[in-house]
Amino acid sequence: MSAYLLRRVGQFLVVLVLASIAVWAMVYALPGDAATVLAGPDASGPQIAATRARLGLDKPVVVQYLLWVKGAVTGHLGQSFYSADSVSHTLAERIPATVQLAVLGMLLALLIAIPIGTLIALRPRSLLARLSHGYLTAGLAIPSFWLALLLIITLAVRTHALPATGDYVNFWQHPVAALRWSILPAIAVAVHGSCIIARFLATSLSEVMQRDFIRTVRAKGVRESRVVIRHAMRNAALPTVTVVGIQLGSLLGGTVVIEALFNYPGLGRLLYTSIGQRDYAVVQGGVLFVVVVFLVLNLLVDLLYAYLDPRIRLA
Amino acid sequence: MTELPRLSRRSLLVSAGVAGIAAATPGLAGCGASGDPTGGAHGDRLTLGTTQIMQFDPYQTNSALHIHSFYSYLIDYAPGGYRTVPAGAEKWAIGSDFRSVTITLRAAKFHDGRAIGAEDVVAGVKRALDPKDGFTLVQPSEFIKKATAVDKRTVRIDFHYAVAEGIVLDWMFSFPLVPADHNSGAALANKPAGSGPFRLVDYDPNRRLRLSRNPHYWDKGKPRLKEIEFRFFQDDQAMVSALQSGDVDGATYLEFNDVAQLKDQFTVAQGSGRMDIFFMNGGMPPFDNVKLRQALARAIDREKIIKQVRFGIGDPVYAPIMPGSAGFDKSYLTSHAFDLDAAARLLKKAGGERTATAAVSSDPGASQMMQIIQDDFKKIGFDLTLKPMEATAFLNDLFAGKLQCCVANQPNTLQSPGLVARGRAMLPSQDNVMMKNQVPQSYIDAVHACNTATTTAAQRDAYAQLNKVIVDGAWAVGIATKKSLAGLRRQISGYAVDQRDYLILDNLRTH
Amino acid sequence: MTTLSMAAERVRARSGARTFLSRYARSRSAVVGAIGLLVIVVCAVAAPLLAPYGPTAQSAGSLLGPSGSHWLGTDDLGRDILSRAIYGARASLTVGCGSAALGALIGVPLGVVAGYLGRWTDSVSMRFVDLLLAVPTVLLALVITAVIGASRINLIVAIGVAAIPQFARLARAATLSIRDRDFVVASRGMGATTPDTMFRTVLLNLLGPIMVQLVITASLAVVVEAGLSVLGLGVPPPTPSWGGMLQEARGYLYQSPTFGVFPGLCLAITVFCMDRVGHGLRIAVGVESAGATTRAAI
Repeated sequence: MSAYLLRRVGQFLVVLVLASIAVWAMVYALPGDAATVLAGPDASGPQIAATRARLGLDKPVVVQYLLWVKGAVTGHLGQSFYSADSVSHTLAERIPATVQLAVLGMLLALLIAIPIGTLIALRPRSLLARLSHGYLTAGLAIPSFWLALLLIITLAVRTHALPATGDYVNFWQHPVAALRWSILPAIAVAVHGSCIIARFLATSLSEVMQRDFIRTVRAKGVRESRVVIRHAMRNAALPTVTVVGIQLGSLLGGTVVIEALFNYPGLGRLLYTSIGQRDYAVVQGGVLFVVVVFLVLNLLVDLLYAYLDPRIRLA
Repeated sequence: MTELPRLSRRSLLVSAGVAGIAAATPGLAGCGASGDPTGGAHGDRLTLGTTQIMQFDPYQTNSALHIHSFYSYLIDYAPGGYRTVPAGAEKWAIGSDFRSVTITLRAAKFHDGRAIGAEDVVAGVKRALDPKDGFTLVQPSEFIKKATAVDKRTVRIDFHYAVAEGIVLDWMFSFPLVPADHNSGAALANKPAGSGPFRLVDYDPNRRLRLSRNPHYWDKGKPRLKEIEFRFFQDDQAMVSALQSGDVDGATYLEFNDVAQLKDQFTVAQGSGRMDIFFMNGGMPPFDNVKLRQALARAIDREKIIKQVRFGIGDPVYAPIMPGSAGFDKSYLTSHAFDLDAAARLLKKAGGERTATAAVSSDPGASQMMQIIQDDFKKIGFDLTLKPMEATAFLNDLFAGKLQCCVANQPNTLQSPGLVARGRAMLPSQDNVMMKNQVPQSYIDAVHACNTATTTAAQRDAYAQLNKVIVDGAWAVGIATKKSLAGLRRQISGYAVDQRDYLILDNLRTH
Repeated sequence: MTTLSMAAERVRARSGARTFLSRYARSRSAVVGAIGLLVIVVCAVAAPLLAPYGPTAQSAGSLLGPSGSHWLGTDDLGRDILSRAIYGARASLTVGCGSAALGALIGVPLGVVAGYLGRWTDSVSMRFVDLLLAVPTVLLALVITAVIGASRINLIVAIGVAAIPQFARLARAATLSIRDRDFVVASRGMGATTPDTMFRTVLLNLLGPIMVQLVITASLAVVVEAGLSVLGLGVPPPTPSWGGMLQEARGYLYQSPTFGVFPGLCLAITVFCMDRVGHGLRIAVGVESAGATTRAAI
């Protein structure tokens, strides 16, 4: 087991280093740099060169990369070209915004998905179930950004019921304001997610309901509601929880388009802006965060998987 | 229609990990605390939408609209013209030989409470003369030899040669007061240090900039608002939606197509803006042929562009000199008017290759504008291929002199036509990114003549000559002014924009 | 091979196709999806015949509502929205299918080679795949289009690269599962060379899952392309694309709220049809559900 663990951690580190180099190479391949952006269209050649020197962009690419790695190893992810804040600080401000939006979106999705999924599984022929099927079909096909536009037209621009743009307000400090400023983007991401979750829940629940043990429980004279909640739901919940997890995981990577449409200050929009401005350290730090989250989850999964299934670690 | 997917233990564990992260959220969220960002005018506080604000160095920018909130300049121009208004300078006297100016500073304080002194101006001039750190002030300060402090509040500035009064005034209008010990690109990159109507409260480069009233501002009774917040929008449409839904009280840097839908509900303010210029690279074929450039210059349909791309807003220009400047000559708009037959004739005579690639920036309207030009060029037998480029990539290639032709902006020339030399495609030297070593000597001489013409007659001749050499050189063909646009709620008044497009916010108020 | 066995082969192929179709037709929604997709393809191919106006022809006043001469009204430049939507199918379909094909063309050989050769080839290519998988698609596409510029081909490259991992993982897993099965070992024993073995025997057995993955990837790519266009990073104007039309419509949310409805509807219908076709294929070739249903918002 320890040999396998070593190998997997080794692989994890290799991908991490590769990712770091790849991201660096990627942002360096972009034509133009932060000095071009900062100095502006009316600057002269020597001024751009001076800005480049001030930002440290005149050093060879490899040296810049190694300097960054040296900092990163000691926990310093470098500094944005556009603010006095360190990259770690910038990320620490954006990540909570993205996490809050992702969690809110997922909660909404569950609020929709659980009743719908249960209904479809238990009363598949009822009118409500048919309507729910319609919702699933539409929700899966409608791109989230189109839904976002429709929401902006109807609820913000036309009726002024809600702000057309999103913003991050800490939920624990101002719950009402937080909801007000993130409910539209949250709905935009929630609808699609709710359809996927409802689909899974309905399928697994209806499958569980046909199993023998449900019949046994029923035969014992247990009330139907108790059968569903205590026995069937519990068994059907596992696969659903997994899907919720995967959804949440991808939302945490930042939803670039939705965040841009709502001007929501999350990780996705940060990366989008930073790519445009050639803010190398921020792009590097942000993408690495996303990559590390992904890799760590994968690594944990693989390790636990191996722990549960000996054949893998012996292979 | 439903199907049961296979669910592995693997995905189950992924979700467990995610749940762990989610559980850690409340802790994380604590780092980025912020209050309620409600928009809406609350008496003495306003929220304005804008594109991102990136830095606070007045030397680095001549277009970032927030900068005048932080800094006082030596003088201001009254909106809409070139009448001088004392600002940081209480009075000034230009020497009778036009070789110096003596400036008396107002008794005023910087944001940090220190008095503004002559030494600050001396340090500021020194920086403006430093080609590496002077940025946009280097070119306009070229005529200055040195600055000396006469006493605590008096500075004398000596010139290399006799200079037109307009050049001195334009320079004073562009010269910001910055404390001597803070005056460098590095010190001002993230923190302003001025004496303007507002002070910095906080700045988050991705979200907002908050300003509060400077209680020691020299202009008594101003600013009228207690607090102004700029909210940054990456996306013009999101900003317009925010204005329409009431999230912000005003929106700056609007696009032209926004005006039509906003003008019924909002006040739309126009600033003088910049100019759209069609540039042809004289440093590479086929545009190294001046006859070819002159031919194509006749095939640019300004009226159509103004009507279709700018929705009727803006005035046509021929040479890149702003209408309102003494050097603006509208006769070229008729003598060299859009005429495809004339263009075709000239093109026939010019010979040379008949294809080129036009870079198209991601600026709104750039693509439509270039399509109109492409269309007309095709009619006279010249094929343009359009190449859309991302904003920074476009700037990079433009600066490197790699673009064959493009439409780009030229800054306002203010009073002095000689300021046409600002901007890298109009430099009177080999650094000119469009002409390189092909810059006509006559152009270099004409710019100098404009800057040194001290009598009205000399000025008239110099300006006429400048127009002529630019039109003959034909590497920079003016299209139209590109106004800067802002939309504001009807309750807001006192909004003004100066000739550089800087916002003048000290008179802003709500009803 | 004898004539007799060739005939037998043909019969088997024909009946294979019949089983495939009858299995596919078992899902009514899959049939609807296939018909819908066919209609969209016809629109794209025969756009000049079907569209009442040219895609860039500025015919009437701008932002007109639906009328007899312009069934869906006109856009901000006075162009017919219906015509642009019909032509817009071209951009969506070419980018969608092109990037799915590109992803498969690179991903499948990569996965097969990795799975078949194992050892360091496998490690290296799978680390590469991990890397691609870890970076979000839209970000990858953002960077790639910034480097090489936005055009239809470049969008295909950008989205196609992001689609490589799914194909590579699928192909690798399938290769691993059949690598040591009798018929593969047999064909190796009969003297078939290594590349032959991999790309004929193994690949033929992979056709079903790859087909399903192609459709899934294409529907994802359609959405990503439109998403990039909404940010103004898609197919450059004046070429019509549904995402681009949505982007233009955003400027007129107040004046002409209907402007943005139809292009979005086209997108939704296309995604729906592709999803259903994928569902039908899955039943027909007997593949379990893959990752498509777990796509989150972009």
